[in-house]
Amino acid sequence: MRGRTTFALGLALFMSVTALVIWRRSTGVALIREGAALEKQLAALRSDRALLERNLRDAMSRQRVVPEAERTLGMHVATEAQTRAITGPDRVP
Amino acid sequence: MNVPRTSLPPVHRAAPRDAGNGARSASTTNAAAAPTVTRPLVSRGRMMLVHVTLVAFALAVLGKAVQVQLVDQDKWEKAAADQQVRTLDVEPLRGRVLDANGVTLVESRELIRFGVDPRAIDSTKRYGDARIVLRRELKALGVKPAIIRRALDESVKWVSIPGLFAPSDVERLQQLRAVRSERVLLRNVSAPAGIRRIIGAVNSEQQPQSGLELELDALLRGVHGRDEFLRDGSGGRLESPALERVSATQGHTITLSLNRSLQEIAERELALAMERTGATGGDVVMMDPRDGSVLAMAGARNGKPSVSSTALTDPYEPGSVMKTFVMARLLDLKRATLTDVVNTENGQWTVARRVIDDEHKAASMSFRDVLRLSSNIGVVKFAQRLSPREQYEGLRDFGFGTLTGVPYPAESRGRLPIPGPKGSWTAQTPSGLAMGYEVSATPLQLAAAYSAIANGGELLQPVFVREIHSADGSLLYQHKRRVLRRAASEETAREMRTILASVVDSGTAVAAGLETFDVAGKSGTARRFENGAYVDDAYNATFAAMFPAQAPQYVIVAKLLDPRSKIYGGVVSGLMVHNILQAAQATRDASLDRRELARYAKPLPAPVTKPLTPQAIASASRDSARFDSLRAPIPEAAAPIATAGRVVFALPMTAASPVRDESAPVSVPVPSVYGLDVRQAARTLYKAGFQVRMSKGTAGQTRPAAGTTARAGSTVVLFTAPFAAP
Repeated sequence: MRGRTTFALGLALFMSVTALVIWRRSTGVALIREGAALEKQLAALRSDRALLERNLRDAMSRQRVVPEAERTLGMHVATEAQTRAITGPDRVP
Repeated sequence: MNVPRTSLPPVHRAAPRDAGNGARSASTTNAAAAPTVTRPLVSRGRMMLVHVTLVAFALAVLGKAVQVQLVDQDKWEKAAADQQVRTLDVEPLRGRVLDANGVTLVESRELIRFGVDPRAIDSTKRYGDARIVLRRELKALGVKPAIIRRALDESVKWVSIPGLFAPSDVERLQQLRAVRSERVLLRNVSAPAGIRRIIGAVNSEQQPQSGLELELDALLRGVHGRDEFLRDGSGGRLESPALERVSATQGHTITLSLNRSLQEIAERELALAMERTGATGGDVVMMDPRDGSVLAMAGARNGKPSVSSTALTDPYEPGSVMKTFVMARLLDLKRATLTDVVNTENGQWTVARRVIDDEHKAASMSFRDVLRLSSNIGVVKFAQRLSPREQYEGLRDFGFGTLTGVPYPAESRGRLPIPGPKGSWTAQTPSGLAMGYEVSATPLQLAAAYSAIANGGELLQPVFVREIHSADGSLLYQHKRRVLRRAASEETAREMRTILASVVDSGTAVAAGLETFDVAGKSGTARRFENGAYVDDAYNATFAAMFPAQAPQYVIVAKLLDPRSKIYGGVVSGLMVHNILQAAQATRDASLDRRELARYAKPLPAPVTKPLTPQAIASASRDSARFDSLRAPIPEAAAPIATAGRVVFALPMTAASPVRDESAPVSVPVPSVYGLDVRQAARTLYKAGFQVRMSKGTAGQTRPAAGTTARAGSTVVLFTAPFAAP
């Protein structure tokens, strides 16, 4: 009876340790997968952001804005007489 | 002891098959009667042999295990890793390139290229029928129907889908087993054409090919990463926490001195100037003379934006813009003063068998007027006061004939002939150099040299790179103003700026002038030298400007190749500079210190009050009565109309103008107003510090005469032709 108890306890310990190892490894694998997916998502978002920012920059460039403003709104680049440089108060050090 | 030690059960002799039941009973009876002697089936020796064999086998297995696990561990681990672990190199994103205001000009972007293995199409739990998903997603990506059909045709082995796609667009497709994707990096450029040429390009493998991409590759390329994973039986990916993943580190971020807005202005104005003048090409360089930052660099050849940075790579004979440096050296060496006058031979003179002509023909000119009116004869005569070595050193000190040192692979050093027995000077070289011939320079060299005049005489190293930051934002490098040498004294530089301001105010480049600020500069119109000879009726029209004249924040070199309508640099290129300055002032992020700039703003000229006609007075009175509740008062009597006998000038400044140089001497030279119309002549004299009185006489003459000195604030009589109008 004593031998069987010892054997059962040993088996239970072995099973517990094995289960712990498997759980730990499974969690690790799942986390790595999740991390990889997030990294992929981050790269995708960065790529999208780069594209959107580029489109914004192109749309805001003088090459696009100036002709459009001249054509649509009848605007023009200010002449020097229409531009005044104003001296403000001295900067606070 | 006959008891066998073996635990094997006793073996009974088998009864004969034909013995029947009777025989079996007999045998049992015999056994009960006498003890049966059992003999082991296998002898003890044999058993021992088996045991030894088994033990030896177990030992062999154990030994092999020890060898595999301990002795040859590394070898077998490597072999296993080779089979099961796959290591991928993760290419880093190249560093970003920003303009002076932090606007991104170039950055790398990750895209996906993929293909389909039609035979591997199956269904997934998550997305249902893979064929439906594949068809729908490919259609959404805009893939041609014919390619979609092929991608779904199981008789085809592999179909590459053309094009590169955003990762977020192909996320669902990448879940399918039949789709194999690959990460591709693309250099995303959103810079004007001129900046693109300076930055250069990379190929599809992200290898730099030209420009700053090539020159600064070590900073931009970043550090590669490593991605390790396990492979399953079919080669699929299995993540393992035991494997190491090293992220790639993006390259450094480089902030250029180039300003995107100014670049766009320069490119636009160059294109408009070419259209206006019929020029085949041109260059514009904008530079900050305070620290040597190159702000913009535009170029065009054969009517189109050029494919390389021609302002760095194409030297040319600049003509009269070089006179500035010869004259500066004369002042520096005290070989001439501002009041010196030379005989300009009424516009034609022969020296060393070279006939020299002046556009503005005069009997004599002062030092100041030689530059203001760009007299070839005058500058050659002044240059004769320098030895060949002094003349050469004067130009060399301003950076001609040497590389400027900008990080650009194909920069040209231009050409500056060396005097002396081993040099290539001829009898005509001194006069040629004085007029800007026999020397070639790039627009950038000219801009750097004029920056030296603008900043008080120091030749600075031009720079493209202002700052370098690592991917995590820490500052690695910041440009500091680097003085190469002193090219002229501070006093000489100041005097040269004053003279060059008169070139724009009343000299050969009036077109470059602004109403609100003083601009200094020098024009140059030189015949084009191609394939070893001068081309007939083909000119390079150049104008080098400093803005504002008192404390320049910009140096602009504008060049037009072969203008057709007008050929003079002061006119065609001067107008281009005028337009660039006008647009830059109206631009918010134009790399200008506006607080400093405001100190030098001129008061706007008061509009000339035109006398109202009786009809206008009646009309105004009627309109006032119609729209106002109170009847408008009758306007004041109009001023009398100017006639030929009484000339009215609207001068743009007062005598107590705040822009006047406080350090100006009490006695100042009377400037020459030869060749100017009456209005310009009056303005020139007034700016020089004199009161002006008009009198009829020989047009262009003054009393006191040009070149002589007079007390500042005294009255100078300006002679005008009879019936001259302002």
